Amino acid sequence: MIELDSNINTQVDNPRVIESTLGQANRKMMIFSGIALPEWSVNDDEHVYHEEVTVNLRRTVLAVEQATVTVGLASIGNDDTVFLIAADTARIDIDQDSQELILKVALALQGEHTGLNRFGYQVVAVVTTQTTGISGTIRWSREIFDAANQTPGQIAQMFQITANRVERVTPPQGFAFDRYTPVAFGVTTGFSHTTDEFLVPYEIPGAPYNQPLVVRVEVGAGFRASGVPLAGQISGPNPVVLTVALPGITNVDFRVFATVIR
Amino acid sequence: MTINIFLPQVTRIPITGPAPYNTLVCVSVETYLDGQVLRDRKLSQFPMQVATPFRLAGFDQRIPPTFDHSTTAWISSIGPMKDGNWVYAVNSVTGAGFTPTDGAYYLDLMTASSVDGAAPGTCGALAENITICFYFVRIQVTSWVLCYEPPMVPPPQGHIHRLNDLVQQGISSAELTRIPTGSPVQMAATEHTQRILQQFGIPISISVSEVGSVTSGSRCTCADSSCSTCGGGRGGTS
Repeated sequence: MIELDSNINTQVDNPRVIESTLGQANRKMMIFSGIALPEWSVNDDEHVYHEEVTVNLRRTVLAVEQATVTVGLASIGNDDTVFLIAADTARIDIDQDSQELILKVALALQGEHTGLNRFGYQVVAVVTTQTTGISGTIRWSREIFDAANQTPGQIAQMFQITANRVERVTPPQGFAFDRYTPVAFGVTTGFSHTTDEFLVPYEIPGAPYNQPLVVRVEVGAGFRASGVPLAGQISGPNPVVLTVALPGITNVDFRVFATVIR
Repeated sequence: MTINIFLPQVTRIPITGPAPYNTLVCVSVETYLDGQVLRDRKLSQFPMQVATPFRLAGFDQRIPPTFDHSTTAWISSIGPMKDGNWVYAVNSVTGAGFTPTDGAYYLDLMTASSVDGAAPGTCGALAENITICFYFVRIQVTSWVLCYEPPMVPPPQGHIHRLNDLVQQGISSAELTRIPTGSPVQMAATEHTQRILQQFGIPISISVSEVGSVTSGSRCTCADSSCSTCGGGRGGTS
């Protein structure tokens, strides 16, 4: 099985999701499109090979009421032999743990130097969902960076907020380290300040259920601090676990510190 | 059973949100990979823009449209070609937008191809050292677009005038065409109208002193107390 993640641009090219409300709470139409990169090839023109590809669409839902799924070959090749290149079936499923929508496509290949490198997909689904998410604030002192003249748009550009799945990686030689894989992205939702400090609320909508997630805030170049700015979590659970019974976690707050290297 | 499929397609679905959108549009187009210079067994990557039949209603050149889209593309057929080492690809949907001239929706693709050679009988010499070979790579593109389009204004429900109705109400041909009163054209038109009326024996003669406004189902005359509603114009009917 080839597992692809729509959050990783080397696995799905330009994934796009649009949602429209349908006049009923918790009911939406979601449209997912993209070009997936299974990069699958075979070198045998005497047998037909089969492979299943899953694409994690990275949207959590409670149930799928209706859906249509379309896939089509997008990048194919062969080297002067008998060949077969096919996208046989396509369907969607819900990951039982995370409640994320998963696209499942059955592929087939035959031929020497024969590849099915990409396929396009489109999923149109009416789903029931619930408001999920992680929210909190990012604060910093005016002494570190006076952002009074910044626009909300400039403030939004200063932070990359993600909810991450964490894996402990232990290389054969060297020290173990944590690998963070972003599974949901956050946005800032405002900007305010007092005489002493600045406050930016944020939200991470649609994070997956039933798995430990670590929220990270990366401070970008637009944050012109007098030192190296780093954001650290100061309140709220770490890791965060969302469930159907507890779909929202609030007050996951961060503070930006500046490290001055002398 | 006969099934009619109409391509290209534009389907508009009214939606309640998210703000500021009120319309979800689905547009499907079929296109072909642009013609390329064949470079045997070498992969060439090139961008192409696909026009669609979707025009944003209410498009105003002064206001960049706000929209979001979800678009995919795939290859629906290829051929004819020589058996050999080949690759055909639509690698990416790189963007979408509306033309600034008329609000036509378009899509940007990044495509690639490597052709080993042309199939027998598909080439013709255009000039010395220039040979044109026919092959095709057909691409299907489907885009869903969230956008805002102003609600449709229903057409006016007033009386639809036929020429004879107007003539019988005493409205001159000059009024129908808004020709300035007293102009040679107007005078000729009036005479022409009178000749026609006489020809058909319609017992009405027309004498127009000024052009009044034609409103739905009503006509201002000098004797009409509602003359002031006609923009001050005074018509004369006898």
